[in-house]
Amino acid sequence: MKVQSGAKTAWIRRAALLLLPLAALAWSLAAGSLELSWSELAALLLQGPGDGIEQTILWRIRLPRALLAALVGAALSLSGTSFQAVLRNPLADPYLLGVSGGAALGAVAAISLGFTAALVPPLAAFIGALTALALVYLVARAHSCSTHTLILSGVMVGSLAAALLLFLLWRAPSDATRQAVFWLAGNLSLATPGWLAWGWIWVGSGFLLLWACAPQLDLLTQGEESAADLGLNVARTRLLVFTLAGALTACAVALAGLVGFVGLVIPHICRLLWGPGHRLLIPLSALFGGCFLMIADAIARSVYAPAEIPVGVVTALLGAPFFLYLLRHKGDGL
Amino acid sequence: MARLLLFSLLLFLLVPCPAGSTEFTDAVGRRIELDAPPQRIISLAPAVTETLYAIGLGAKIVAATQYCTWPEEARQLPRVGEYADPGLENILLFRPDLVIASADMNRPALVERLTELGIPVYVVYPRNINDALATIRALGELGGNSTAAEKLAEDIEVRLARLAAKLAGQNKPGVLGTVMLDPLTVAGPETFVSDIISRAGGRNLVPPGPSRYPAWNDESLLTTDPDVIIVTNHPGQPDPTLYFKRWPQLRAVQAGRIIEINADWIHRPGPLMILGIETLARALHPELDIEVPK
Repeated sequence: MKVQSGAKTAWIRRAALLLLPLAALAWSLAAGSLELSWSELAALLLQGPGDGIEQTILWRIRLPRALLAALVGAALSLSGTSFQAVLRNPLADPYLLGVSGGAALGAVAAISLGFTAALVPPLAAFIGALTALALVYLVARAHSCSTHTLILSGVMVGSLAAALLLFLLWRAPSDATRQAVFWLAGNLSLATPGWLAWGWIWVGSGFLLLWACAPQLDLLTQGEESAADLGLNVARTRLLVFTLAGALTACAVALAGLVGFVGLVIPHICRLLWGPGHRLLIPLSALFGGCFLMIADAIARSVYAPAEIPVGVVTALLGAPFFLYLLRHKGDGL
Repeated sequence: MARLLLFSLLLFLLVPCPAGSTEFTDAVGRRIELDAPPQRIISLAPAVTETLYAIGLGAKIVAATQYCTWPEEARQLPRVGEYADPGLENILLFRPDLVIASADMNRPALVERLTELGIPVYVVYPRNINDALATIRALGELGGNSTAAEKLAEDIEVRLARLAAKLAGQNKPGVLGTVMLDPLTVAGPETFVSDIISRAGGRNLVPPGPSRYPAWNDESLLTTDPDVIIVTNHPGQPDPTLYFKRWPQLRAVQAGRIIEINADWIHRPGPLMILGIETLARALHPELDIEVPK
């Protein structure tokens, strides 16, 4: 009898999991400066795109933005999950390894040099992120990519980028500084729908490749020696996952600036809720990360509407207490 | 202990007040004493520089910020740097007998440091048009030229009253005052620009909020759908016309009412603000034929 009710709750949980993205999307579409009731939202969705202000807002602003939030949240959460597994360090997040520093430096350099056309800062951020990643890797490769070397060289590359960034901000005129700060705080209103399609392809392939690596990730979390004993090429796997996760971060940062906290905390939350197996953890953390950022962005847009607060503020304000609660009640699952 | 106190009290009483010294209280309640009208003034705010020139005290300015660009002579002044960090040593090297700072732009720590170093600092804090008029008068007294300051302030008041009479009973178009386009930053109700808008016969559509200059997204822009959008020209910012053309649904775009105004006229609480108000009023109410003197 008890077993049966256990199976029943498992089904409810799975159903809830399927409903979560729909609920997050619906909320994200309804919230903002223009308040829409559920019935108005449904009517507008049935009407399809059009030239009216409500239709424009729903189809050309909110929908792309919700999809972008889902994409960025999923990418950050996925790369956090992978970094934490491959570095066997609970503090690892997409930004630890200098990737964010490189991205920020790239974007701010573009802005402060006056290249502010819509496409340039994201592209510069992407290039900056990949450059930082390559630098970290080149240093760490000399020591067969040991986790310590990776982390330390990542932190150093990050510090170097931060120093250059402060210098650029110091010498930039105040307009450019505000633009840069806005970008650094994370913002989902900047990306255009054209970028969105490329982003989905990029993140989608990253997701599939990482998912394919799930068994290797499980082995790596058990410890390098046992993984090597079981025939895993540890250095090569680490490099592969490291590159994939870094590329996902670069994409997320290029599309939305530095959205903090998602990549650190969502993987932990998922691990506490569903255990450490990566075959389940990878899709679930992508799903959960995407929904989390959609909701956080909906809140960021509507709390002080028509003004918008930085989404990074909301992610941390929501995520940290929830994580502390889980930590208190579920304890040592990390 | 009591004796010591008494002694220091006596000592304090004995220190002579310099003959003819005048005490002033600035806009943030600090007191300063000047022995004579200042001869070597450093201005740390463009509006202050403009006012000093307009009331005939321009010759007394020894240095100003790099943003002090009006009148033409002000561009020739030695620079002490930016608002946020004008460089203490730089200021001292000019041996000023008065520094005029702005509570809005300069850091309180800088004011403290300068005061400690024995330099009188007068802080202005104009938040609206009436404050700005009071500041003009205060600067006149401070610099020993209150007649000219009074005349300037009165002249502005007369023009404001004439405009108000013309605008009485007119409808008030909804206005969005933008400060920057990338990121879209707008002037909230607690700003100087907001007062400019209302004096020019418009209605600022930005509601009160936690930030005086909030960042807006496209959705807020479309939902608010202003009658008129004010833009200012900045280097490094997107072309305003192209920026708003992305949303042809906007009333202001359809009616061609994206109005560009010289940023210095609507952001600086100085003598040029009246030009900003009149220019804006003329654009908001084309039917009234409002004159803007050259």
